Amino acid sequence: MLILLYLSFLTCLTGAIEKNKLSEKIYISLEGSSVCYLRLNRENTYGCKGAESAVGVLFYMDNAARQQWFKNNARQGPYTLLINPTKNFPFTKELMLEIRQYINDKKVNSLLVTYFGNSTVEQFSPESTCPNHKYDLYSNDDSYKDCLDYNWNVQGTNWLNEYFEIPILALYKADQVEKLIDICWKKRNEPKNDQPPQSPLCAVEIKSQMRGAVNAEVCLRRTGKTTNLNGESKELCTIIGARTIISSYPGPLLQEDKVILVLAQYLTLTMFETLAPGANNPLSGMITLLAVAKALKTSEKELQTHGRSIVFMLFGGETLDYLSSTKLVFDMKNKNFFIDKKQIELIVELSQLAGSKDQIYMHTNKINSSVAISQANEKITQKFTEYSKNIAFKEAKNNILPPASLQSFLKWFEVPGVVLADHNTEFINKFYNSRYDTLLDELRDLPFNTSFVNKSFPLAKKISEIAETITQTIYSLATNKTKTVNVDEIYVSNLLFCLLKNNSCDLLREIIPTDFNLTAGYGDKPTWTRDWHLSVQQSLSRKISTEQLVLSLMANATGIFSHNVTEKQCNSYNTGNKTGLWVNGFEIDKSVGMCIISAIRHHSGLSPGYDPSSIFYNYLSHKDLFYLQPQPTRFLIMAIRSGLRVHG
Amino acid sequence: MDLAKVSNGEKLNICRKYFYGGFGLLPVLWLVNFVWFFRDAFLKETFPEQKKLRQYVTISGILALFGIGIVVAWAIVYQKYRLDWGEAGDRLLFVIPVGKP
Repeated sequence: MLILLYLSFLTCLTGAIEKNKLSEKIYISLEGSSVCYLRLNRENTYGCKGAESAVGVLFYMDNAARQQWFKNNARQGPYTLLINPTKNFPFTKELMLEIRQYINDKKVNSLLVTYFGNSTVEQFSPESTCPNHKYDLYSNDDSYKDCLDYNWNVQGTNWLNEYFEIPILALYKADQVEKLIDICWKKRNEPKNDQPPQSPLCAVEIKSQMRGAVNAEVCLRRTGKTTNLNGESKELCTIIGARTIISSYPGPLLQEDKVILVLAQYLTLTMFETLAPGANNPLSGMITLLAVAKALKTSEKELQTHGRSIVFMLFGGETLDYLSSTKLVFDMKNKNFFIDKKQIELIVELSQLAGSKDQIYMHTNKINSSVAISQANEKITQKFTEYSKNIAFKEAKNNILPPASLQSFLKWFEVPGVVLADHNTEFINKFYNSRYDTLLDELRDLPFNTSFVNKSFPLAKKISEIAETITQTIYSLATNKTKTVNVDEIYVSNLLFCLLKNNSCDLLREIIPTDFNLTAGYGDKPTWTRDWHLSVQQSLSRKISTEQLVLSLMANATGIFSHNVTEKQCNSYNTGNKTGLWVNGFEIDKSVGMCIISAIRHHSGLSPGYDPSSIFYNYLSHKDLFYLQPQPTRFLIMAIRSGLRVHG
Repeated sequence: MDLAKVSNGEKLNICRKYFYGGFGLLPVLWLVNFVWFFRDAFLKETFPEQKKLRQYVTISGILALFGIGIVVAWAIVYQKYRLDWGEAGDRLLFVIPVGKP
């Protein structure tokens, strides 16, 4: 008997040797996953903690019958739930509540979600129904705080602001998911004739632990700590933030110059770090801003004679409690910014603009507004209406502002301001801050491998028209004159294509620094190539930094290519408020490079300091940089499990 | 060392050294003392030094229990309140916990 056992052991061993490694025989590893990160702030933990190793029996849920079976009959857990949302099996609030319950009951110890682009889901948003309400303008107003009368984001499930003790991953490669389903689900775990599957069952192992824990304070403190056993201090947490990218015509050059601020945002926040297309929110606003900036380029002289400056600002960290604008206002208060509050005459913010067919809504704050400001706002909205053409500019019905950076300014001082958005009292965007906010349906006619878009398409036409109205209105408000301006529709088309569909296009290649890599690390994603995800503020010299890309876009929109400047002269160029940025350029000889001269600058978007005594410590948000075991996550196949825990 | 080959006087001498040694915050020394000389102190036939030996062994046992109790209590209290103590709690760490409170 003993000999027999020994022989069978040997046979196993030889089998294993043929497969090189025993682990290769037992496990298959899956590629193409994106992890839900952890975020810490002063009091709380948000996102997914993950696990050093979470092993669960795979259960594949892609229809209501399976959902029901899982609810009533699944007792072989803990499970790894693989959800495949489709049109017939959407990610509803009810389904998410049910899953949340399974997680709380420890019936599910890891969650996998498939993601193959836009077509599978009709609406989904992990954001709250009233984004950023804790720190908005109305947070101290009893009748308006917490959006009592407003639900901007009706489909919001608030998962983005919750804490999960388990790892949650999105799988975005169809062939890998198929492999998992074939080997693991169909062969082993699928219930046949409503009966629970027989052991051995197939389990999935996920390793994705977040280093940080507890809260921001503890994590930062431990990051700086060195002990005898650690040797050197480990980086547990790094501070979240993104630079504010600024450019202007022409100044302000003098202290008494008046300023019109044009704001937009460029980063979003989704459940999964590398799946953040951010198309309507916030890129539609950013693209419109760039188009407006480009159209106003020829008006610099007129603006100067009228003592007006137009300053464009792109904020990065707004999805986390208006981090960037709060920091900017904080610095402005402390005179650490080149514009003073007295100079600001008007603020125009470009929010989500791609959703509606033929109208744009103008939102102004009507709560506790003085008569003078209300009148000024009215005058401005009238101007917008006056200059609108095919796309109507209408006043929004709501009294309060939708989520917007303008709120940070209004918290400090009264100023005329208008937020332009495609929605009235609730978002048109059904995918606010989610991985489905891609607008790819609008871009479906453009082949992925295009390097230059030479014709316009409906979305580009719409954005251009909106930009045209905004440009004319701003010009008129600044100079009291009317001027015909033409927004470059081809430029808008290319911006939309390059930023939402494929980064490696001519427009972006021309305007990036020579050593910048447009596609590094982004090649295997479903359709777009860059993640517009708010995370750690990185060095601008990094060759893939999104902030650097936005800086280049802003420089290109507001600056001019200079031909007769060498790289050295370009880098040291500093005349008035203009600086040089050395980029690839559009010369045929790619090795030459060119200089863009513009008034770009950037402002740190990090929360003001690590000082816990500062009130601004509230805005300090952190997140993990590292996993103990980063991707690819390993999936354990055919693990024979006796003694399964039974849930009664 | 083989205790069987050691004279009773020498045993008492070693036992005394271990006993006093334990006061240098080494409760485990008392525990060793207790275990090692328990047989000689309580189970062997009487010999002249046994009375003194018995004293040392008994007190060593009690002190060992007490000392180890303190260590265990400290470990429990520290693990329980480490987080509440904030920075002071972290300063006492040797291994920085990763992904845990």
